Amino acid sequence: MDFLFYLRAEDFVILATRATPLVMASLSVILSAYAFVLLSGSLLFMSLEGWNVVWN
Amino acid sequence: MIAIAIAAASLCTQVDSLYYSTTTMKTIGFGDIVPKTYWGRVSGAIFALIAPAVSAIMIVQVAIWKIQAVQQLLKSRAPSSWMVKLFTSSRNELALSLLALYVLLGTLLFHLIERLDYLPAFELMVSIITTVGWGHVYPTTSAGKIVVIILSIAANGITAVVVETVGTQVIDMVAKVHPGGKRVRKAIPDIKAS
Repeated sequence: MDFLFYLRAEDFVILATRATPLVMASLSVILSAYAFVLLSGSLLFMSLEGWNVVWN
Repeated sequence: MIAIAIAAASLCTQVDSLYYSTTTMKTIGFGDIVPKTYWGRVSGAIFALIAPAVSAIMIVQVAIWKIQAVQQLLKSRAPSSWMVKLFTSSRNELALSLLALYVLLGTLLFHLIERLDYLPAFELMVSIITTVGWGHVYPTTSAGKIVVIILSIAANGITAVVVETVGTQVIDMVAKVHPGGKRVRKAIPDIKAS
């Protein structure tokens, strides 16, 4: 894992932002869809099954 | 006669609900928490038909993003730099190291949080990353379930990297012997320093 020490801060900016707008937009859409499906599913089962006891 | 095994789970929390949704979406299906009501079971079945497709599309999209992002990163480096070598000639090693580190991290987390021995903790982690979900080992605490949720979602990224790396190599091999493989190979951008 030595290579991590050679990574520069701007490398992460490049990794996060330099893909084409179409790819970035598609990724944003699918990540949002993933979160939406996951959370709406959870809420659905919470309401249908009464899985809503506050956890501790 | 068909026996339907429904776990006698007593009080389920919001974490359980998110845990059930996540493991269903990832097609892990431990079976420790399942809906008991009629409509809950109907919804669970419909969710299991739809949600994994979203997960699969996300893996493909992350793989596409990874190819482009790494290309851009390598463009910013000298062709002889160690990073270019790492991402080009040592791609398999990089992907497999990432996978191994991920499994190791998960095993340690389950050992510490769920108080499992190393073997069951390793089995639990493998059942998550491979989505096998045997069901003989599963998290029992809320903290353990949260770890499963996080690791399951993160596994999409790991899977994308491994599938993209290994898949490209397989297509390369097919392209050498089959004309159809050559056409597929041309459609995939190479990760090269320019």
